[in-house]
Amino acid sequence: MMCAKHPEAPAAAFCRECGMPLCAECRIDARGTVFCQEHAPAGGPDVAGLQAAPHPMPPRVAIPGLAFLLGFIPGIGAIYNAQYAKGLVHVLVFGFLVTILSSGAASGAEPLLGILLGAFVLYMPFEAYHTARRRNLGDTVPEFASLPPALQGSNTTAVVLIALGVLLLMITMDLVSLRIILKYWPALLIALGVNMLYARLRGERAHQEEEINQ
Amino acid sequence: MERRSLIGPLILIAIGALWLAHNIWPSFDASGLFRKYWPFLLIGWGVLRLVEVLALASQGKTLRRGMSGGEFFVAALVCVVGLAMTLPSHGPRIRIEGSAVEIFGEAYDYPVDLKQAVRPGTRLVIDNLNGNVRVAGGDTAEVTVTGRTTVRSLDRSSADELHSKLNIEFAEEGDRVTLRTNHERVPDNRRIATELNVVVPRSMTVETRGRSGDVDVSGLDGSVEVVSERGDVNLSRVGGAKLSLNRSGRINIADVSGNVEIASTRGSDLSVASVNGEVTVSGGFSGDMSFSKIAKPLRFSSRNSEMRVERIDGSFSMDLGDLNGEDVTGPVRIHTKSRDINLDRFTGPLDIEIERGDINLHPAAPLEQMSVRCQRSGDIQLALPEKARFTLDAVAERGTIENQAGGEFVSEMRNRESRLRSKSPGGPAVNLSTARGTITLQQR
Amino acid sequence: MSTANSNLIAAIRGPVMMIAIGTLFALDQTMGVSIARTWPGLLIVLGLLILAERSYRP
Repeated sequence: MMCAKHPEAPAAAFCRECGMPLCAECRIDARGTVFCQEHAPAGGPDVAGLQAAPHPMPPRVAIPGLAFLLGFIPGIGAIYNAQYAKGLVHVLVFGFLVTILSSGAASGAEPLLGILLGAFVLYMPFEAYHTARRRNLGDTVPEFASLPPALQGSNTTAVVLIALGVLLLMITMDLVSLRIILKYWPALLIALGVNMLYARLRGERAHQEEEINQ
Repeated sequence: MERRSLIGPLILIAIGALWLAHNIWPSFDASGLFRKYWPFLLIGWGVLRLVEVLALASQGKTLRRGMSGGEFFVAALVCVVGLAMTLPSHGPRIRIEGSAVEIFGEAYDYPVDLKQAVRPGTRLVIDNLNGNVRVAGGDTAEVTVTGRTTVRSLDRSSADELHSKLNIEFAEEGDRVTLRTNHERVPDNRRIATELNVVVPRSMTVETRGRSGDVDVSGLDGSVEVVSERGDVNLSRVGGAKLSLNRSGRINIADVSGNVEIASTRGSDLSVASVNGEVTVSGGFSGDMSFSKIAKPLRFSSRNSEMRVERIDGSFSMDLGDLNGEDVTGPVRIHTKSRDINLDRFTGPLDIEIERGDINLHPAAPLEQMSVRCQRSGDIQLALPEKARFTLDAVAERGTIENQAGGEFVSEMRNRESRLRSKSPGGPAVNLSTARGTITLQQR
Repeated sequence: MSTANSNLIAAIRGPVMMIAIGTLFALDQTMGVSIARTWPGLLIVLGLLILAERSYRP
């Protein structure tokens, strides 16, 4: 493994935030762990003496119980944890589920949507609770850490956002009806499968090339 | 040291300046300005921030990612306050589509007053694109129309001009008289609505055509035909009814001497009561449907259901999950996907075929031929009248059969299938089957 | 340079989104194109910004 910024230098550590491989030159030691330049906490690298010193107990910044309670209100739990974008996403997801359910366009999928909605309402407080706890421990909690890594580190988020935007725009402009989309949504699963297949095949080939090179 | 954003102070200055201007010149309408132009505040703010970021970037300074919590909060506040100030002036926005005039304009009313003598046996067609129509039968020989046309417009003169194009009129051709409100003559005709109150001779046949608006017809010996895109329909004491609707609201039909025919692509609630003729319903209804006191056959068909009931003395109602019948006469035929079915005090042959759902049957004596089948899963419960004679064949492919009624039956178990059959044939055939579930026989 | 570009795009994300929101509301108010019909456009803009940022990232 080589450093992400200096392909000639071997990686000595990984950023605890984004997992970027870092050489000895790029690594920034802070808070007793390693960060890349981008995710290093404000205040710069630790003074050499401080690094070895035991962690001081960080101040209590959030009350997990309160975060849990607020989490039942869509978006509020996340906003309490100062994660505004996440709050917005929670509100949007909640609103979207409720809209589909109440529009009567779910055409038989109501139980599934109902369960999804219930699960989501339970998910929010727990998410807020754990985030608040981690904040209390002094961790910086990236807003979308709970997303699967495939969605975090690639273009997938952007592509999903654009696709979702186009789709929803077509619905609100009455170009397509929700009913049709609900009918053809399993195509999404197929696309996901193809994507995974592609990634695995590519990974295998890269692996083989590596072996040949050795 | 990173320079902090200039936006905060600039906004403070802008608010202060507006407030001061309002204090000095009381006629200066600061809140009105805000109400009208607040979205541009967001745009301006965004542009300023953009310029700031670009300037910082060109100086090679470090850039802060995203917005700060404070900024986010103020932006959200602007949106909420702006929306709160604008919405009441819009009034409740029922339609999403529409032009600025429709939202901002004011309503100008023009009275409608027309009379037309008609020969008996004439058909009246009311062609009114937007607006409610109310028709009542009376002891008269002429058609009397009152009401008003509402034009939404920015000022009186343009409203007058639009209204002059309409020219509401009667047109006679053969044995039909058409009342036209002529909304089609105005291109942007969603801003025009005409509310009509029509009194017609009792014997007349009436047809209404429109895009939006409620239709209310009562006291006619003739029949009523309604063609509408959306709106409620209320019919009472009419000779017959034929409805072709697209997205209907509540449909209420009561006291009809003839047949009722309803087709709606996307309806919500439907209630039909006291009909002497046949009732035919087709289309999808997402709300509650109820039928009571229907003297002739009721037929219902939608994308995945088909039903027929010979006569309803009590009631027959359904929504998306349940179907309940009381005092109905067969042959009853119910083919549907998933619904729980409850039939109480029914007579005549019965034929039920559903994919899933529980079925609860309380037939009245004497028992008649019965065929009940759950294709996927569901329990079947049959409460038998006393001393009923019948030939039973009940199959639960995966499940059990409980007989709490006694009687002479042969019970078979094979793999997971249970079967219960009458020992000797006699009486009407009662066939019950479910792919997965329990079948229960009870004695009443 | 590419990192700088990436950082620049990340930094203008907030302002651009704000302009987009303001524009949609302005359209709603003056042209009568309801925000209820145009809001998914915001998702598209956001997606494009993220895509642009990532395409510059090393």
